[in-house]
Amino acid sequence: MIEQTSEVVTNYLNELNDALHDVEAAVRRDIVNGVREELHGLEPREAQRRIADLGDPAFIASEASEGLPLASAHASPVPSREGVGYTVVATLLVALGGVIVPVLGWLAGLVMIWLSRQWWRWEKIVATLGPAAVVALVLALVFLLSRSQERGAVVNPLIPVLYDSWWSGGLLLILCNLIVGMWLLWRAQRTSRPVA
Amino acid sequence: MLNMIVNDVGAQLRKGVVEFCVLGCLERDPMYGWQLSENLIGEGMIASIGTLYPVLARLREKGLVSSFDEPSERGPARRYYRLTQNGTAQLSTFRKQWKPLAAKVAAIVGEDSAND
Repeated sequence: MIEQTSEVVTNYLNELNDALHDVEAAVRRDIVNGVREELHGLEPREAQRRIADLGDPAFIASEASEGLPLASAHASPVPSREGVGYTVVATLLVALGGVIVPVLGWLAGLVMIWLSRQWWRWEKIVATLGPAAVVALVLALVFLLSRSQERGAVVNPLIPVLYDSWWSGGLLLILCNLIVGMWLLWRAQRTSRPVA
Repeated sequence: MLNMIVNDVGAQLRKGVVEFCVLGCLERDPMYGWQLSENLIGEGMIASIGTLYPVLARLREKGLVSSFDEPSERGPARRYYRLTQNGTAQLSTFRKQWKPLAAKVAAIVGEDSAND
């Protein structure tokens, strides 16, 4: 549980630090340290509650950049993000862009994801590396199985040969990207930053 | 559009007095950033902790506030802020001027007949 707290807090502090990149270094350090002092050692639920009270790192950063009180005390603590259209296009490109325009479509989707504040950094990393990692793992397994087949006497027709593996790998990559695209869309539906 | 103008008036007023509100909070007791932030957010003076720290930085730069680290039970040392002598003097000057100024402004702008 404590590890989970650390992860929650660490993720939030990283996001906050990133969001404050335009703010004067001393103020940025004070803000991050001030938040760290308060969140350190809290139970996960309490840490999440305090993070929710603090609000979106992007909002804190915009306030710090201006150095002024909020235009309205009644304004939402969560700033508007990119529009729904941006989110849908970005996730669609990640999911299907590679099918429509091989490689480039998928890359365009990833660029949009990385430029957006809609997702956590770890979500962006998962979206970028996840599908390739899954395919690499499966191909490695197939390779190992096919080698054992060459050595062994029994040939299992269910295990594809290497040539088939490339095609299967391609299909698997498309499937993985589809799943990642839907996952990103689901993650983007949150009304506040994730805390777990 | 009208709401935006009204909100802008509120923002300008808060902008003018938020530094003195921080001084007022710190006059009672030294406080750490989160404490100050919760107080001022609760009073509707600032919107987030992001507003507070630039104000604290300005006050420190002017020599009205100083900071010190105090060990915390939970983990890392906390940074507390307290009023300097100059800060106390500045707050006192503000208090002397605020009431007459607020009274004059009230007399000039009058009361809102729309709410009568």
